[in-house]
Amino acid sequence: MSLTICTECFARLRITQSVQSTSSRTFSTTAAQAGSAGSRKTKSNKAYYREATNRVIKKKPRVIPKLPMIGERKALRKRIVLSNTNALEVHGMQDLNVKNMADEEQVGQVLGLNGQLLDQLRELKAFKPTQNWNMFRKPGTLMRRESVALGRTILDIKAGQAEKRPRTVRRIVAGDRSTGKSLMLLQAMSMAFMNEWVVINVPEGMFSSRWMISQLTASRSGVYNCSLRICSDGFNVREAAITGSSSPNPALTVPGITSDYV
Amino acid sequence: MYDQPKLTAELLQRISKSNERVLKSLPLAHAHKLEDHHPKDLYRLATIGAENSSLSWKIWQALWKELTFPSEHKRPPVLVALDGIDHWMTLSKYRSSEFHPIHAHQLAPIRHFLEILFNKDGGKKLANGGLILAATTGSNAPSVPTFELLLKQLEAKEQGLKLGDEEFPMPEPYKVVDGRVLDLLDGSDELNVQRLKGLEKDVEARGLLEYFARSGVMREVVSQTTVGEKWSLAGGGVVGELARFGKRLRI
Repeated sequence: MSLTICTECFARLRITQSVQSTSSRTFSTTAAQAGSAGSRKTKSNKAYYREATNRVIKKKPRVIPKLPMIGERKALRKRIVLSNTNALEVHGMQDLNVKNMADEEQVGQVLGLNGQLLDQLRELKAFKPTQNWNMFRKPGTLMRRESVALGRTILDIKAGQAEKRPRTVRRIVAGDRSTGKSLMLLQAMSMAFMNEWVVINVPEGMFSSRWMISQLTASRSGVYNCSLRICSDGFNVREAAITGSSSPNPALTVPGITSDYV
Repeated sequence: MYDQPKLTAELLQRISKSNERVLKSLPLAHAHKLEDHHPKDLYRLATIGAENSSLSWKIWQALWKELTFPSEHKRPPVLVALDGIDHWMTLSKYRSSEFHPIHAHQLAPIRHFLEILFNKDGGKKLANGGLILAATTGSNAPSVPTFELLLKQLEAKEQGLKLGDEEFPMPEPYKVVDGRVLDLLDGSDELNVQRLKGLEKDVEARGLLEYFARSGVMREVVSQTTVGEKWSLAGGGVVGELARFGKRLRI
């Protein structure tokens, strides 16, 4: 029987720590029912007429499962693993640097991302848990023609800034599913960090996601209208509208739980 | 217009931490009215916004002004990377106090980023240059036909067509369109749309599969046949699909 499964799914199979189940059952229950020499009950369970049998029911201690801490399962789901020691090391793999980011010769090569850049990208939430970083020994990105063109644009903007002719490029990267749009953004961020730019990243769904507990404040000329909506799974949806006060009423604000676990 | 103070504070925290070294070297160039706080550099400014969510939106605007307005200080260019802008072209999940749904364009941070990206009135110039890159989302996309139409219109604009032309993409008759999204078309002369397609078979796709093979993830010989096979199955070399074929495990 041959089974084709993607290694990602295979890697996700985990032996979960389940609650300690009761003692294993034997094949035959006769011996257990009969009991060992020491455990046989001395009192007889003979039921008298119209009298309840006073069976001694041993109360088992209640097994309280040890739940994981609040946020642990979410952190586990959203964690980013960037390195896998089971993968082989690719010898001769260059790192992305200022010289080879705009080099045509690098099209088709996978360039690595090194040390401090990784921390910066991780901090900005540039990596997504659904990407396959956990398959390789060292994180790296494929240089496409579009990546090299992007590198050239970044170098040109940097040169323009030095020569006092500031150039702004505004671009939307569109395409079908899995065509590498988010990775194009990641490459842009890496190249910008290497050229010492200021990088601002808004990850997907940051400001419009439904499950982020966030407080909205509406400011309209003078009237401070605080509309509080808490939307999250498992929480009641409440709405409070206050008008006229100049500062938020602490009794009505709910401390927000941020979702930063990465 | 609605602010999102806690999320803005989170954004400022991320920016301050990842750009720490660069921001610490940039002093303030303009005067800002921040109650009692006198930050000496941009790192400190961003950190104040991250710690006090009530001030975060004001500080965000101050930081943006510092980075993009002309000043005598030398400032580096700015990269703004926006992921998943499809979510910004439709109603958000929030509701107003009258229980009307709030459109994403009414949320201040989203409005700000869209103004920078589309630059309707030409007012949002970056004095030190920069790159504003936005990506749409494929797998997690809400279906927003108006936004797809807007992208087509932007592409048509790049090719030189104008609103009155015959071949200019228009909304289908009897379909409800979102006026706010279509309004983004005005101005936006500098914006261009880049459509990503599949990889090239001989260079890019081969290079990716060779990397997979060298890492021990793909256990096949990388030859012209196998590369061609996987390239075709991946719909013409779509990267994500190609990677899935490369890491397939056969038991």
